[in-house]
Amino acid sequence: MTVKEVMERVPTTNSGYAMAYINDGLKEIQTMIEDNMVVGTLDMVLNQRFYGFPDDFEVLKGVLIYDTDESTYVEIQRVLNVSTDDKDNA
Amino acid sequence: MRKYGYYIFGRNLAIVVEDKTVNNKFISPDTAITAAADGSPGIKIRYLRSPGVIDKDDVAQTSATKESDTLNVEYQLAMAIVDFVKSKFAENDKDYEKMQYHMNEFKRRVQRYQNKRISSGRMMIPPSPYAVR
Repeated sequence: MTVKEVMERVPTTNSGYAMAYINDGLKEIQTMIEDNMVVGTLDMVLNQRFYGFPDDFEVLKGVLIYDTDESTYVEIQRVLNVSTDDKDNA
Repeated sequence: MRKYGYYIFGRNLAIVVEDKTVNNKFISPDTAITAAADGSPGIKIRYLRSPGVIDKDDVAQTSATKESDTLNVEYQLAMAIVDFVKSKFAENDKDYEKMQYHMNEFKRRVQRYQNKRISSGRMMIPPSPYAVR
């Protein structure tokens, strides 16, 4: 279904508002169902703690680190109450 | 493998590793990891993204910018988007009853889309260590 067809069903001729709401709706759907799962990759850099998310990121589902001993990716756990000062190389 | 963990810090993903000498003390990664065999990076993140749209040249875009763009979702989800847009326009007009109706329709359509894809029964299985036996 095209943006124009959505506008005809609403109905509206205000394409600016309609496209903004369509984009909001597409994002909203991803918070409700897991329909568009993707995998992104990052280099793990020495002494670097913080890594930015991809531009199209909506909801984090898991983080994996490459295990050099087993030559496979291993899922890591979320940690709470990290007792450091949140700086790189802390 | 050493004990790695992650947490969210603002709009960043923070990766930490347990200190080699002090238990339960987490520090920034003290080694760089690249999967050398195929040159792929050391961190993979699984995440959900917006389906976006497809423009008239069949190129995927993250958001709609033209009336000719096609929503990159199934028909039933596209109909849910119609209800979402109707709801927002009703909110603009301060017609809150209509807004609520279409927002409920939006949620119902999305849930029905999800449920119809998994037609068989479901069984809840509690994690074993916490189950009452």
